Order: sequence, then structure tokens, then C-alpha cells
Amino acid sequence: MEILNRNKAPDFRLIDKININTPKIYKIHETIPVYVLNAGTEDVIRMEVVFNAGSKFSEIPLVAAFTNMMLNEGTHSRTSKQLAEEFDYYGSYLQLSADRDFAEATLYTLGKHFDKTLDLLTDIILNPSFPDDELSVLLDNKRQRYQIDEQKVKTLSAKKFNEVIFGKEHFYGRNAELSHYNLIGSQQLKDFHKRLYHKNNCNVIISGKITDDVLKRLESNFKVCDKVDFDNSFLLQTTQPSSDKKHYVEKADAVQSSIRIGKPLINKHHEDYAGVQILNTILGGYFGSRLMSNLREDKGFTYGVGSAIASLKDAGYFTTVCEVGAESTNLAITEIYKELSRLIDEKVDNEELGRVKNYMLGEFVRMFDGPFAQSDALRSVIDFDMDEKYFENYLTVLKNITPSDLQNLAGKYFQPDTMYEVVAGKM
Amino acid sequence: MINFDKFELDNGLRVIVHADNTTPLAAINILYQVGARNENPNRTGFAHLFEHLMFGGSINVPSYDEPLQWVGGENNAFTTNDITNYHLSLPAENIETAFWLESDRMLSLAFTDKSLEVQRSVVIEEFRQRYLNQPYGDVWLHLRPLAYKVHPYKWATIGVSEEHISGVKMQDVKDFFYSWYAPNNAIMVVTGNVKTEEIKRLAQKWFGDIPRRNISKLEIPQEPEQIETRRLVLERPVPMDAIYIAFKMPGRMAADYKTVDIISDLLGNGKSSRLFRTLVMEKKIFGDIESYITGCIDTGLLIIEGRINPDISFEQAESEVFKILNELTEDLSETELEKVKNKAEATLVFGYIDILNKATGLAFFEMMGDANLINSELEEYQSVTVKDLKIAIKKYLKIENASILNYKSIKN
Repeated sequence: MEILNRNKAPDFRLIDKININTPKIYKIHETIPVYVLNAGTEDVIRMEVVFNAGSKFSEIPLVAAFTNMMLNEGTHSRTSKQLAEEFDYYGSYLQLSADRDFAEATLYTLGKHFDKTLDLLTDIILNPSFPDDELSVLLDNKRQRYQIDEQKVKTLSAKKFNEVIFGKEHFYGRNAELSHYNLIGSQQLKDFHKRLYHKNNCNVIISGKITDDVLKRLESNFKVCDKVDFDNSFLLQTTQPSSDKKHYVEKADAVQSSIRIGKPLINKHHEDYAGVQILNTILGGYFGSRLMSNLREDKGFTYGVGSAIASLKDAGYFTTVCEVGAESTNLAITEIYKELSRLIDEKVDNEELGRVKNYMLGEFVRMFDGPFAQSDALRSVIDFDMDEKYFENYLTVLKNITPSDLQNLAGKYFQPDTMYEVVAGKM
Repeated sequence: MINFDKFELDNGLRVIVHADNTTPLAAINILYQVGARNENPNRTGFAHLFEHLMFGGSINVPSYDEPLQWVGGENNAFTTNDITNYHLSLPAENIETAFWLESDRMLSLAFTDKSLEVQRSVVIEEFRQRYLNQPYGDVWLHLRPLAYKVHPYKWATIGVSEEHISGVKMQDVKDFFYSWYAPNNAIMVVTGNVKTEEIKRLAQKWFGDIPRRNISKLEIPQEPEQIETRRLVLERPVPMDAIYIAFKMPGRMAADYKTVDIISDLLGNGKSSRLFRTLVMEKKIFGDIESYITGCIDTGLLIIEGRINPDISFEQAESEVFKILNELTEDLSETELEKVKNKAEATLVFGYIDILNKATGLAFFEMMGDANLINSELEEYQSVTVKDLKIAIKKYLKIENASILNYKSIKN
């Protein structure tokens, strides 16, 4: 009988290999790249169609979002009601979303209903009719949502932070305002659709149980428009960060404040990116991070705090995010700066770095586990015109990075006096 | 079909193993059969606060999270009115680390004052962040006591007030642990790239010597049948009026449970659902409306909640909703039922793709009596008939069985 020693951790193995499933890439109709990830055991399919049709391509910020949302509100042959009935009848789920760079339609369906649901997906992407009645309902609905969101301190700080780091006029820094909803009409949406939902302007990612029949069906059905002028240019602007470092949006009745501290930063294309991601993980990128340990687990200021390095197509930024009791706002801000300085002043010790490396390797395994996780991972590189080599490079950096490398990166990117500080709430 | 093996240790710990060698990962789900419904009415929010304390170090291991992170693992937990559930995933070859950590905190916590003090504050901030500092965030703090007069479902898992949380003492924590946290009150499910024999060995090694404990036998008072409509008006500085209608419905294991679940889908799940189609898109009474069920073990709720458009009164909004409920008993077609069943099928298939969700699902059904219920779920949905639905609508979706909360917008 073995004697159990509960004080000692069992042996474990470090992860030395990550299985990165490489997608098969096909071209349909000569131009549309289709990334195929055949994986998983269940008879399910997720198909994402991603267009370069985010808000930066229009003058009024909401045009992209409403063009996208209106896709399934009517086509030349199906009413809004019929579309809803048919998608629901097959138990499929359609997700429409648009951000600053991209607009997409994603279909989740059981494999046995793929033929029928692909017909629907194709119809809404190719032949939307943008009916006025449905548009007015949708505008009212989203106006209401907007007003509700405006009462949330996290919305107020996120919007202000955007403006501050990119500039109010910049296509990444501007925010939708209530008055913008009055400027949306169906003709603009039709024009936007015609200009950008084009076969030379999209990627398709399909994951799950992908048979030859699925691919044949895709080739014969998915005939994306190629007959109109296609122009995916947008007005290039330089960012204009605010000249003030500190910003406060007061909300008198708030019991918590939302704090964002951050700055514009490199994105995925930069050689320091993987290293900065690792540095960010140490700071605020996982449950055991320094910000969590300090602000939550030591001081109890907040339910949760985190930090992120985010990549946009033509920019990047860093931000810490948390909501803290109004009375602790100033104390929390001081601690966030303290943690930034600590990364610059002291080398990370080997125990902490080892833990973070192993945790991140585990995250890598999770990132490639299952068909949909894999397609999320793939999406995160093809949006940036990169491929899976990005992950290989990232892994190499992760395995080899040293405390000195991290300290240098912190000195280069995380100087407290370069940060912008936004508080929404009460302090 | 989710295949699994099942065994029980001498101390009463039930263990279920579902092997899946297509993944390099393993997942563990440990469900403790204790939730907010088991709390003392003067110490609500305790089960949830306790979930936080389970991460504050155990008797032999000062930190739960750090050793798990060292081996590439990730974890989380949640508390409901019925259960407290802990789950993790990690590279399968390192699974013994999880057995070490989970068994030690089942054996005993470290019970440090620091952890209690900090987590009380963290949970109060969670209370503020999720319930107080959000528009409409306090709805459930008021809707539950309106719908339940006797059953402890009348309070939310977060608790009735900040004071209930700030007043917790270390002795309360210890008593709670020894009343509820025990091998004979837990279900462990292991899924992923594992073998049953190895899991048996590890379970015996790490959990085998944890003693059985006397689980609290406090009877949960059951909610009597509701015989008249209950109403409450809240005035808040929010932009739009909203209405919440809660109908009592049978608990998870009752015969009508799945029938009522289907009704909630017909009414308000998705863009083709009756409430959304008619009252948002056509009549423009609501800006948004949906319907769902709470899915509790004991008497649950079917909720209809909607944001009312400007210039529409609460009375009109309510009567339009009941009009739809009446119509449903008259012109419900087989096709419409088939649609909802197809949706249920897809939801189940998509829901159980991931090994972690499978583990949580198996644990839940084992608690309900038999893990294998996970495999007959779809069949049960598919056996519901139009006639069943009509009977259930009349029985449950009637005004006397409704608790109605009018959330009134006022200027700040």
C-alpha cells in the first residue's frame, strides 16, 4: 500500500508538442478561399463567411452593422418571417456580426441539414432586400439597446477609451451615437452591400464533419456576387490620441467605477507581439495574474480584473479592465500602475515564469481542441493575412523567452507615463 | 450516445468516466449537491460565497490554482440554487495533479481568515457589479420573492443583501463545509483521453481515505400551488419599461417538465418564435421579448420578459402577451412542434461537443438519478405531442399562476 503524501505535488509532464491541424485550402469560383478543418466526432458544421466590410468602410459608423444585421430580414424571394421560420425549422443558428474591420455571417447546423441551411445562408448573403419596415423595427430595437448600454459604466469607459487612444474622428476611435440611428436608410445599406459583399472580398471557413458532398455542395451553391464594381478601399487616417492622459466620465448614481488604463500598441504583425502577449498574461491575462492576485485575491477591490493586448487590422492596443467599488477607485488605479512598474523594475522570477509558460502551453492545447476551437484559432490569423506559422513562432518564443527579455519588453511598452487612464463612474 | 463507466468508492463518492481518445485533454467535473436552496434564510448567498472559499487553499495545499496552472490546467466553478459545481480541464497526462488538488479540498479547507475576509469583499463587488450597477440588474432580487413565498428559491444565489455576506463568520464556514462537502454528497465525472482502470486507481488513491460525513438532512419547504396573480411595480431610472411574467412550472424530473420547456421555446426562443414575431416584428408592442425556463430541481419558473416600446402601457403589453398564449392553445400545428424539436436536437448535439460540457451534463443527470438520462433527453423531447402542449398551456400558463413584475422607467 502506498503512503499518500498530500503535501507533495504528483509528477507531471511538460507539454512539448502541440497538434496544430493545418486547414485544407480550396478556391471556389476561382477566387473565394475556403479553409476546411475536418475535425471532431459529431455530425455538425460551422460555416463562417467573413467580408472586409466592417465599420471603417463607411462614413457613418452604423452602416456596416445594419447592413450585416439586415441580411436575414428579407431576400428577393423570402420574407423576414420565412427566413426566421426556415433557419429555426432546421435547428440551425445564424450569427451575424460586424466590428470595425470585418462583417460576417456564421451558420451552425447539423450536418444532415447542411444542404437546406446552406441555401438559406447563400440567399441572405447574395440577395438581401433590406425592407424598410423591418429596418425601422430593428433601428428602434437597437436604439433602445444603445440607451440601456449607455447606463453601464463599462460601456462608458470602453467608448471613452477608444476615443482617447485613437482620436474621436478616427475610424477606430469614433463611437456610434444615438443621433447616428436617424441617419440610416435602406439605400445606404444596399449600396454598402453591393460594394463590399463581393467574392473578391471574403474568406470562408468551414469546420466540423466535412465530407466531399459538403464541399461539392458549397462549390455549386455558394455563388457570391461578382458582377458589380468592387471597392474595399477606406479613408486612411492617422490616429490622434488625446493630449490629456486622464479622463473621467462621471455617473453620479454609480456604486462601482469602470477603469481602463492602456495605450495604442503593436499588433500581430510585429515581431515583439508574442513576447508582449506573454508579458500581458503575467500582468493580467489569466486567473493567477498579478492584477488578479493583487486587486482581487489580496485586496478584494473587484470581482475581476484583467488586461489584454488586442489586434485590429490596422492598429493594436493594450488595456487593463476592471470594475471596482466607487470608494476603492483611486486605490485600484495606484495598484495597477504599481504592477506595471514592477514589470519594468524587477525581473520575473523563474517560478512565476515557469508557471505562466506551462499554463499558456495548456491554453495552446485547448485552442486546438475540437473543430470550432480550431476554426477560432485559424480565424485569428487569417484575418491578419497570416497562417499557422504564426502559432509555431509564438510557441518558439514562449519556450525560449527569459526574464530579461520580458523586462526589456516591459520597459519598451509598459511605461506608466505613456498610459491613458479612463474612469467611468464615481470617484 | 455518450458511453460511460460508473463506480462508487466505499465512502460513497460516485465516479463516472467517459473516455474520448480524440482529444489530448481531460476534464473533471465535481458536483456537490448543495446550492442556495440549502441555505439558512438568515445567511443567504452562503453556498456561492463558499464556492469562492474553495479556491483559498486546502489543508495540505496552500494554493489550488497555482499547481494546476503549472501543469497547463484551467478551472472554474459556478453555484446555482440547486448545486455547486467545479470543473477543470488539463492535458490528460497530468490528470493526477487534479486528483491531488480536488481530493485535498474535499478532505478539508485551510480555513484562513485572510481568504474569508477577501472573498467577502470580492463577492460584495460581484453583487454590485452584476445586480446593482446594471440597468434592470436587480430584477431577480425582486422577482424571486414575488414568485416564491416558502421555498428557498425565493432568494438569488448571490443572497438577499450585502449584509448577509459581510456578516459571515469562520464558524459558519466550517459548519457549512462539514454539512455538505463530503464524498457521499459529491459526484465526480472524468472525461477525455483517460482509461477507466487508471481513473479507478487514482480515485481510490486520492479520494479513498476521505471520510463519509453526515449530510445535513434539513427538509426543503416546498412551494404550495399558487392560486392568484401576484403583482409588483418597481420604479427605476432605466430608459424603457419592461415586464417580467413568471409562471410556476414543474421541477426537472416531473412528467411535464419537457413539455413546458417546449412551450417556452415556441413562445420566445428565436426569431421565429410567436412572441417575437407577433409582438416585436408585426405589432411593435415590444422592442424585444423572450421566454425561457429556470430549469430547477424543485418547482421552477417559465419566464416571459420583454422591453416595452414607448407609448405602450403595461396593461396593453400584458394583454397582448396573454392573447398569444390563448392563440397557442387554438392553432398549434405539428410543423411548429417539429421545428422546436429540431431546435432541441441541435441544441443538445452542439451542447455536448466539448468534453467539459459532457462531464458537467453527466454529473447533473447522475444527481437527478441516473447519468444515463443524458442519452434519453432527446427522445423525451421528441415524444411530446400537440395535445400535451395544449393541456400544459392551460394548466400552467394561466393568469392565476403568474407573478408579474412591472419594471417602470422613471427619470433620474
